[in-house]
Amino acid sequence: MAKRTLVIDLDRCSGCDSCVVACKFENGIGLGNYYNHVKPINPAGKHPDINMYWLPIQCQQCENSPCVAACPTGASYRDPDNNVVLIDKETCTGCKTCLAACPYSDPTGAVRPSVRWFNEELGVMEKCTLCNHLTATSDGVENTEDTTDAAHAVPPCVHNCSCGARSFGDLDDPASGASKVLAAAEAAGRGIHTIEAEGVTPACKYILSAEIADWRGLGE
Amino acid sequence: MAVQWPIVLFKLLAGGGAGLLGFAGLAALLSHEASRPWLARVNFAAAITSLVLVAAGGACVLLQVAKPAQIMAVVRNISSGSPISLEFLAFAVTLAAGVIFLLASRVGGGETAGEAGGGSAVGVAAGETGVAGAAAAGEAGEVGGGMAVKIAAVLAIAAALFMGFMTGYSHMAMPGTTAWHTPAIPVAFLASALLLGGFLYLLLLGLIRGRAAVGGDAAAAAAAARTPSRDIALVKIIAISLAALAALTIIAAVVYGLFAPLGDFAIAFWLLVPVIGGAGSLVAAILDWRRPASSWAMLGLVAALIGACVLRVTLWLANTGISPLLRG
Repeated sequence: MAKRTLVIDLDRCSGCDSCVVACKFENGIGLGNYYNHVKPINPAGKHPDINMYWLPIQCQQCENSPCVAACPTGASYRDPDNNVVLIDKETCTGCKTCLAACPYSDPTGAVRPSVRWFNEELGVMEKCTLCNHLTATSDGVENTEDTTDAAHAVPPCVHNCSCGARSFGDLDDPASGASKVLAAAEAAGRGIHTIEAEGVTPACKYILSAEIADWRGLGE
Repeated sequence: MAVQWPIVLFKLLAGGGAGLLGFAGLAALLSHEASRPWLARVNFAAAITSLVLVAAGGACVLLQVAKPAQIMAVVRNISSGSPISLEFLAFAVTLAAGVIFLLASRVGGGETAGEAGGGSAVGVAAGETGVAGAAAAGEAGEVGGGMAVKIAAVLAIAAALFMGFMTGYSHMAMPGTTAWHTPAIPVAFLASALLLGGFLYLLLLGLIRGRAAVGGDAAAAAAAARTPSRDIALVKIIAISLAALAALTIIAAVVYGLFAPLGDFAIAFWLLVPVIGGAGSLVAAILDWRRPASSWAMLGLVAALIGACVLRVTLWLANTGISPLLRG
């Protein structure tokens, strides 16, 4: 089963929010709402040994996807062709159950920005789709000569990352863009992390070298 | 943290309504033949009230969803086994059990038979007003409908337990909200919902039996006058059950309170849930057991309502466990 996700190199991320802008532009997301956002992980340690980094957060494409399991209508589902976790806006009743099921969201949706947001106008929940409308058949290795090449498309947040920190692809496919970056990081001995949370196995991977900063898991 | 009031109201109304149905079922199982005429009236009123409360709770859910017209998608997806699907199933089962109990109470409880006996030519010819007719028809009802009432009563009790538990389980089973990951929540929700329903049943019982005793329906009045000791025994059994449920509410609320990061809401929780809702209900139930009176039932209902409401609100007002890293 495909494991499509993002791999984000935090050694490279500058917190410029290009990914946020690209996402909002591609998906037509208005003011105050987001599919993704970038958190500054506050300086830690004592002077002069202080470190910090930027943490881009979006749907973590959990392997066990509690939002899918909790959805009472089946609106939260996995794409049968590529296994990406999506929301069917036609079926979604806007009950917000998925907010309580997702460990990366506030149960009431009051905390903003969040990895999912409630579209008041449509009455549906929304979240990152990995731009599945563009990337459904892509191998995640971008064709820089033709960015509209569906076989090699990447989400706009990846394409527009000004620091080249983001990559996309199927982690079960060693030839995908994300797998290659992850393999290189592993070979170089750099830290590979996930935002751990109770009851889920997030597919999204973060690369952070120990000499840049200490990884702080969720809730630390 | 914003309280999801439609959800709170659903849990209160549907849970309390199911509890009322459960106690009507318990009374039907425990009742003696002689008390059937007036007890059937109480159970009929309880079943109607229960259905209204559960349906009103369901209506509140429509205020929570953004697209009520899509609510049937929940039915189509019922086999998914999601916590909300199970809760919806419990809701449907409770409504069905309520309707079955209502019909069974009318057919097999003796009250309908008593009315028929009193009002018909056969009943009048057979004896004094409707009493003899009630007795005769009551026996016929016992043969034809007594078993139906018992089965409906068991269904009502099972539905009440299912509904009460599921209103809490649907929170406990949400993996993303760690402050809800304790079995104390479904236990506390179940116990507090049954408490609400039980005290409401005692109020209905006192109201309707009291009216029968002072001269409403002749058959019911005669039956009520003949069975004071058995009536009191029934009330005492219900009161003892309520005392046990109040104790369970206290224990579950304390376990939940120690588990959840209550934060600034801690004082209100401890005061209003285990103390007012739990201990208050316990005292009212014991007083009602020692000397049955509607005033104790009313006191217990108010205490249980306060505790049940605050318990459900706490789920949102306490810290839900979301990491500070994910806060805006």
